[in-house]
Order: sequence, then C-alpha cells, then structure tokens
Amino acid sequence: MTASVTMPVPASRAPRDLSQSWSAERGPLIGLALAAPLIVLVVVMLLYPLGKLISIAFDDGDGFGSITAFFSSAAHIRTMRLTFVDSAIVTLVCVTVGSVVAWALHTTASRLTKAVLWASIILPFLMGSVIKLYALVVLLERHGVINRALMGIGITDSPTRLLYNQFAVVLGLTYHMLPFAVLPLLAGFQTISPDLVKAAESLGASRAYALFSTVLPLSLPSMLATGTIVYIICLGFYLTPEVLGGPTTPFSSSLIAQDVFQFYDLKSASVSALVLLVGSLVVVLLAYALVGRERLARAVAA
Amino acid sequence: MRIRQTSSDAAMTGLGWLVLGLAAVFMIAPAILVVVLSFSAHDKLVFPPQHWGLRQYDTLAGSQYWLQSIVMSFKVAIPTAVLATLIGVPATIALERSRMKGKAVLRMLGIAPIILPGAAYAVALYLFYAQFHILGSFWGVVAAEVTIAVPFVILIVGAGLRRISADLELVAMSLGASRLRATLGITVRLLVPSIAASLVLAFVTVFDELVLINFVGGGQIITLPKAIYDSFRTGTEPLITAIATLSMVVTGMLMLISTHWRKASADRT
Repeated sequence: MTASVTMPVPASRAPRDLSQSWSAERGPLIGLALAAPLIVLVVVMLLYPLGKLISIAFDDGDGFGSITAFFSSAAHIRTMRLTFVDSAIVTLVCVTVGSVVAWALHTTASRLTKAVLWASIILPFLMGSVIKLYALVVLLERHGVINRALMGIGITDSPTRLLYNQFAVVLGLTYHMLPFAVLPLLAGFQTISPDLVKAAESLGASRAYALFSTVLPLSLPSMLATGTIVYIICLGFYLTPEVLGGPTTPFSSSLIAQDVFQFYDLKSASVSALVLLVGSLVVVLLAYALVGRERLARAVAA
Repeated sequence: MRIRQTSSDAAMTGLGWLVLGLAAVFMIAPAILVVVLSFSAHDKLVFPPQHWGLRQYDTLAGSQYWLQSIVMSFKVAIPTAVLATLIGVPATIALERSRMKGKAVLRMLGIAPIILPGAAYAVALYLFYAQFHILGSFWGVVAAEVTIAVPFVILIVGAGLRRISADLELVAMSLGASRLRATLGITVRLLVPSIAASLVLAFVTVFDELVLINFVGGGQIITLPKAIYDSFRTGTEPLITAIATLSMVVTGMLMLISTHWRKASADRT
C-alpha cells in the first residue's frame, strides 16, 4: 500500500497569461470593438450600395442580358473607348511630364527652380476641383483669354474652338492630375542618387543613355504605380469631361449621370457603372500583378 | 572630373528645360489669371481688365445666394470631418495595432471610396438613397461625405501611427498604467498632430467635393462647389474669381498648418 500524496495547487495564484497582457498588439476583440464604426460604415455605405448596383444591373432575370445589350450599343462602345483612350493619353502625359518635374525637383540645386516647380504643383491643388474648371473655361472660352491673345497678335482672325472637345477634356484632366502624379513619382525618385547618372556619364554614356539606363529601370515600378492611380482616377472622372467636353465627347461617367438625371433609366446607369467598376478593377489587378501591393499603396498615400 | 558635353546632351538638357518651363506656365497661369481677374471692376470677364477695384468682392459680400452656399459648405464639412475622425482614428489603431482578423480587407474597403470611379460609386449611393427616400437629406449628404473623408484619416493617421514605437505603450504599462491609459496617454497623445492634420485634410476634401453632392444632394443641398458648378450653365460668373482667390488663401493657410502639424509629429517621435 502506498500513500498517495497530492500537492495542493494554490487556487489563488493562477499564473497570469503574460502573453496576452504584455503584447504590443491589442487582442482581436478590442480590435473589433475599435474598428466597429468603420465596419458599419463600410457595410452600410459601400457594400450594400454596391450590392444594390449589381442587383439592379442584373435585374431582368436573364442574367447577362443587360450586359450584352450594353456592349451591343454603338454609342456605349464609343463612350467607353473614348474614356479608356483619353484616360490613357492623360496618364502618359502626366507620368512623362510628372517624371521630368519630379526628377528636376529631386536633383536641382537652384532654389528658384525648386520654388517655381513647387508653386506649379501646389497652386492648382489649392484651387480645388471646381475652381480649376472655372479657370480653364475662362482661358479657353470663345471670347476667353487665349482666343483674345491669339487674335491680338494676329495668329487667327476669328476665335478658335478650344472648348467642348476632346482636346479640352485631355487638357483639363492633365491639369487636374499632374500634381497628383508628381508627388508619388518624387517619393520614388528620392531613393535614387543623382550620382548614378554622373557615374554613367563618366563611363562614356550620353546624358540620354545615362538617364534611360540608370534612373528609368530603378523608377519603373513607381512610374507604373503612379500611372495606375492616375489612370483609374481619370476613368471615373465626371466633372471635367462634363464641363469641358460638352455633349459630343461624353465620358462614361457623363453617360451614367445622363441616365440618372435625364432619362431616369437607373438600370442602364447601373450597367454603365458596373462596366466602369469592373474596368478599373481589371486595371488595378494588372498593376497589382506588375508592381505589387506595397508600391501601389504607397502611390495612393503620396 | 569633367564630363564631356556632346551636342545630344545639350539637346537633352534643353528639352528638359522646355518641358519644365511649359509645365510650370501651364500649371501656374490659370491660378494667377483668376487672382488677377478678381481685382477687375467689370461686370463681365474682360481680359486684360481696363478698370481695377474690389467690385467682385463687394458683389460677393452682398449676394445671399453665394454666402448661403459658403455657409452650407461649412455646415457639411465640419460635422463630416469630425465624424470621419471619430470613426477613422480608433479603426486605424485597430488596423495597425491589434490581432483582429481581416485587417488587410477592412483597410482596403475603408480606402476604396476614394479609389473607385467617382460616378460609379455615386450612382450606387444614389440607388441606396432612393430606396430609403433620403436623397437630398442633410445627414444623408454628410454620411456620403464621411465615406470619402475616412480614407484620408486612415492614410494619414496610419502613417503617423507607424512612426510611433509600439514599445512606448508597453513601457507605460510596465510602469503600472492600464492599456486604456497607455493608449490615451502615450499613443493617442503622440498622434494628436497627425489627427489634426487629417482633420484639416478631410475638411478641405469635403469642402471641395462635388460628385457625391451632385448625385445624393437632390439639388437641395447647395454647397459652394455645387453653386459654382450650377453657374457654368449660364456662363462665367465674374464674382467666382473673388471666391477662388479667397478660397485659395484659406486652403493655403490650412494646408500650411496641417503640414506643420505632420512635421511636428515626425519630429516628436
């Protein structure tokens, strides 16, 4: 017979779960509580409305019927093509010119150049989106500043039509988007030393070759990320094409607005909006595959 | 070391300066033009102005319609910025400093409203508001604006939070502070400049916002951008030059303050 001895466990001194109370990160429940208002906002103001949009777009029971109807309309195709092509032109101009401006900001030693370039980024930003449009209309109008100047110095006799065409839309979008392109590009360039170009030149490369063989490959990801952001913002632009483009060059957003406010055709508006959403999503996913999430997120943040 | 300059290098440099010059003129000229025109004394836009004065500012000060639109913009933008901060700051702490599941998805959805094509999102909200008959309601407009102000809070406060060491909170707790006290006393206190900066940026963004107002405002909520937009139908209203000049000055000051705060928060941590 053996005597069994059991050690009493002191009930009052249960070991504290140190991993819980001393972690730098809060527990999942506290996180959930803190994020609850945002979760409610996202569900009510984003997911539900988008769900509603999709359900109305596919309303008629035959599933993709409304989508095929959308793509069989010549006017819709034309608008979509215009939207995607014009946005591509704007993106190309913004990334090219934006890169030159950002590189100059990064490398110049002249305070004057720096001041002028910063002013050219900040002043349009200060105006706000609607006042920018106002300023452009004042410039481009039939009896606007540019036409008066052109006639004043005798280049043309009668006012040139500068407003309400594709040119005005591309100009207006570029004017709006250029500052938003320069900032992320500048952030990308800041990691590249200007000495690289000098090194390449000292090894015999021409200025152009030096830039294209050192700076371009290093900054390509940030250019792609910037281009993506500019492109998808352009795709969804509503006010600029509406005000500067007029009825002959409708953007897909104007199509949506027209359906809602003039024809009260909510179904058609939903289908257009869905096509636009899916189009932008495809662009984002392509960029995601090309440059990765981190860089894309950085381009949004800057 | 001297680097040999060839003619192609000179051409490249020249091209670079040409692009810079054109870009600078293109970007600066419209802003300067608006400011200059705001001091013309004509009842229509004339360039170059023959008479100068404060006529545009006088007309603005006497116009109920325009003053009311400015008041409406403040009425929408102030509660929106405050609500966006109240929703965004705790959520950002959860996104950056908790073991909650699905953080990446929630962050993406939170930022989505400023990335989605504006008109597509606006029409989705329109359908939702039409279903519940809240088109044109004041708080409906505020709720819509909150969704596009919150992304700025998440981005700016998130960046600020990442600069603050998480260990600081642990130090406070090892000295006897509760989690709540450590959060408020250390983290949130260090975040104040970022929060203030995001509050200002949210305010400026919403003050300027037009797409959502156009869709869900039902034509009854006339903010300043909406009033300017409506005026395009009748041509170029000269008193807008005065509004533009004033709003550039105010926005400029707000941005300066907000950058100063963000810099201050970077220096403190």
